[in-house]
Amino acid sequence: VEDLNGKVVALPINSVPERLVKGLIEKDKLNVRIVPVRDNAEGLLALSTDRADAFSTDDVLLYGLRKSTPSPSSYDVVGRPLSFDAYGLLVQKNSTVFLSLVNATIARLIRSDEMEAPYRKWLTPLGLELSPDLAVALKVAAIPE
Amino acid sequence: MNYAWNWPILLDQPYLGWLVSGLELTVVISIAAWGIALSAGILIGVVGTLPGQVPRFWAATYGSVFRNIPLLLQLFLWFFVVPELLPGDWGRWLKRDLPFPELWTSIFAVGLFTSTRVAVQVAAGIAAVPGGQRMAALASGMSIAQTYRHVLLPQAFRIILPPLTSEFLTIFKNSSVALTVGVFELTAQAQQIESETFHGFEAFTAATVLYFGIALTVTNLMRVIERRATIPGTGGTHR
Repeated sequence: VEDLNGKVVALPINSVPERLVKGLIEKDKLNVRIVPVRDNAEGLLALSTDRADAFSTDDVLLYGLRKSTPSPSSYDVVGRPLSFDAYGLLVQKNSTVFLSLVNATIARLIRSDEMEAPYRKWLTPLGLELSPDLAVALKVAAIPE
Repeated sequence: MNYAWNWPILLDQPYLGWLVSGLELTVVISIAAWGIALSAGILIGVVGTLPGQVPRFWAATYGSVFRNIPLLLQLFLWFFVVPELLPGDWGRWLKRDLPFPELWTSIFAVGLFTSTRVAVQVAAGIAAVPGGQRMAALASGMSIAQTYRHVLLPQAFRIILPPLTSEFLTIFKNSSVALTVGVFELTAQAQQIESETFHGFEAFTAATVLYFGIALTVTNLMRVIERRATIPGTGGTHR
């Protein structure tokens, strides 16, 4: 983020990365111009039309986006991880039975390594190897029953 | 419905501040766009009523282009497409060096869109002035410019004041398209409050009330102008 001083960064409107990067910019008093974009496609457009120097969002989305461009080698996902946020599934309030079923199922899938197949199928081709950090996070997610 | 109402949240910071800054941006975009719309609209409206085929043709072309393309699409064209069509340095300037490119583009797009609507009304107003007046003015030795300046336009403007009021109101509401290119005006701020607090009903109610307040203010203001502008003895639509 510090390298962005004097540059332009595209941030998705009303998102976690937006709040995160804005907070870092304010904390370090960096001179960064922000281009608000509505979605990932618009973020990539801002990048490819040279409206922004960088686009910040979840790394897995960035890898996916990079893969979808005509020339993936022109883009790179760089920098250190800025935060760790779990993706969640939204269920209705007070549906506790369903909620525990969902949690238990996810935990079981991870424990039995069934989760690895879709990971290898969808995420490995993006150049996103399972990092040791994520492996630990998955172990934690495997705990609930 | 399982919804916990929380009206006081609107008065908490930063949400109150967001609403205020959104309101400011909405007013700024609308007034600036109205400036463009009035000046371009009057010009095109007058050109459209000038004698001769050529000026009419150009005014009509301008009108059909800006009136027949949806506002949102026009905004996207100005914001995303035009900078790519311009020669490299100009496009880069629009995208990078111009401060607040989203704001300028929105003002420009909304202004030009509304200008054709104003132009049609101006032309209609001029046409509504009895034809004998134009002939009389020309016959008494006035030039075309003088005829418009002293005879046609002063009457035309009085005739079209009520529809112009509607147009002025519409521009405030149309200014909300600016949120699609990333201007945090009133509607966008309401969305932002919703996404931060999950109190969308309160946020959008606040935005609705503020838009309503703007509309009432504008309507009353225009009524005062109408009353002041009425020529005694000619009557007007309002008393």
